[in-house]
Amino acid sequence: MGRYIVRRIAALIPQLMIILALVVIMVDLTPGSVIDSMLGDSGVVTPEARAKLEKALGLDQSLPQRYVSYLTGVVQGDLGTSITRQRPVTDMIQERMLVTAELTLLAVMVSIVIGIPLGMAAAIYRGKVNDYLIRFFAVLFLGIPSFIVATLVVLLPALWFRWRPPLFVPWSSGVFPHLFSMILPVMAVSLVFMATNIRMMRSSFIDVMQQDYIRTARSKGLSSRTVWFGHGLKNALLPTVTLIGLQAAALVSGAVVVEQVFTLPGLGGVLFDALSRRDYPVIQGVVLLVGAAVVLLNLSIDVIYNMLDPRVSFE
Amino acid sequence: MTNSNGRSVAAEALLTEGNRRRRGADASPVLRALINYGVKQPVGAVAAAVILLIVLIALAAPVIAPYPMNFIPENPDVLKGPSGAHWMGTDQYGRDVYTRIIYGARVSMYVGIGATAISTVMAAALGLSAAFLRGWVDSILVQIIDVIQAIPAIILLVAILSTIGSSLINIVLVLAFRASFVSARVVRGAALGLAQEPYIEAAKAIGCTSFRSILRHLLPNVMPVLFVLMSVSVSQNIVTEASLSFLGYGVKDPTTTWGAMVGRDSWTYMIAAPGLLLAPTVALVITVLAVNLFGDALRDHLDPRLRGR
Repeated sequence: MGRYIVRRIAALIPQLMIILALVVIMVDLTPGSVIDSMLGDSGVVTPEARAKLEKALGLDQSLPQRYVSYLTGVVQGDLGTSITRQRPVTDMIQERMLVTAELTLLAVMVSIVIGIPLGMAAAIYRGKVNDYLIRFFAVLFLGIPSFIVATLVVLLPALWFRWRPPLFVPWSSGVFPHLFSMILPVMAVSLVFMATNIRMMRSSFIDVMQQDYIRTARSKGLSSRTVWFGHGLKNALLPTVTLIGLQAAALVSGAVVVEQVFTLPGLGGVLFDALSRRDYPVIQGVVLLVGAAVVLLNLSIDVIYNMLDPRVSFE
Repeated sequence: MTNSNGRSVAAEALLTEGNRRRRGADASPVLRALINYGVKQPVGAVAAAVILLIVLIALAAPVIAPYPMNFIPENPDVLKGPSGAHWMGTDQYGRDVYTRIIYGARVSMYVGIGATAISTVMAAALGLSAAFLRGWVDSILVQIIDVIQAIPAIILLVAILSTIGSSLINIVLVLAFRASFVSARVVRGAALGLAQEPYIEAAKAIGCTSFRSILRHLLPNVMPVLFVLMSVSVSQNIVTEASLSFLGYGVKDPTTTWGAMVGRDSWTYMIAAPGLLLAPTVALVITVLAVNLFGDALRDHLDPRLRGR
């Protein structure tokens, strides 16, 4: 087990190196010169300003040199300095990262806690009214993008009750006010994933219920409840767990968009602010950090998967 | 045991089996296949009709729309509710919302179908080559896919678009770029098993080149997977484009898109003119729902084992 995890972490290194390369090359993608497009916004272009900016972006070096120096920085925990804000990128990201991470994790939890029982229920009531109701809900929310859900969540109460949802309340103002202010954003992010989990859980539970070991369990005279929860649930969870890993990146996407609707101080804010100012070190930092986080999340899902399923050997 | 072409009889038989399998038991005419689909998948048929209708509206936008796209009358009635002259009311400049919804369908369809067409071809090429050739081609592709999937779509696309500029064609290309790799993983997965089938071995045995084996024998057998991928991809592309426009990184004014119509501007007038927000929301939801339901029905139709799952 320990060796498996070490080996998987070693396998992550090439992936992280490619993400890093992507991040470094990003600055070169701009048609024409990055410097021109950055300075173009401010108006006057002096040679000194140009040289200063080139140095700040590391553009006075060759591509391999830039890659090595960025890599060295990353290893030392230094993602460079914001050009417009004159602050270390790590500081800027650090304080905002928690909100996005919290939003994402809460959304995962909600989509699991509600999605998996509903998927199971749909499978148990297969072909009955309950099944159709749950499936209708799942298809509906699968099709609605999270920013639309977020918009409706804000718009409808405003229309009907002239009520606007509370703005973001930080942890420091109390745990309950904070969690209360997170309810609507979490709902908006999690609905799509809840729908995916319901569909996946339903189909895998139906599958599992037709297996021989379930027939054996039933013929032993076990109650339905024991069969469902003791024998069915764990086996049916496997594909759903994999799916949650695959959703990780999409979840962060959803979170970044929903943050904008509810004006949460998360990574989305940092990213879009940096984009509008063409603050490349910050953009690079966000892309790198989120990429690395998703890769690590995927790894932990794989490890959980291995723990759940003894048939999958650790290799 | 060779025939006049010098091919082994056994290999010939296996090849024929592969061909028969991919064509289905009886090659029914297109019309009969369509009716068959409609009868077996009524929801899918209705969804297909809705999609067709939206495509027609998008194509015929200049004919159907009561006003030109950005027409502002001399004495504009701003932020009016629905009326005879303006079915869905007017926006903050006095532009007709109904007209803008019709033109918005163009962008959604263009992006949805355009990006999907490119990405499906790319995904098939990448995924099939990786599954057939294995070895280093496969390892490199899987690594690249892992990396591209690790970066959240919105963050990757917004970062790329803000450097290369967000014109309509750039959005299509960037969406197609990401979808190519994500779909390639699915194609690869489906083709890995098929590449081990005896008829592929037979194709190799009679001296088919890799290119021919992939194109003539592997590709036809993953077609069902590609069809389903296409429907998923169309709806994802529409949603992603709308999200980009909503965030302000999509197609710029004066081109109308549904995503942009749900954006900040209409929020300002949320209470005064809720129709400004509701109209594009409903248009988007109907479109995406129709594409998803059609895709579900298509999947059931192509793979009866999945029916009702």
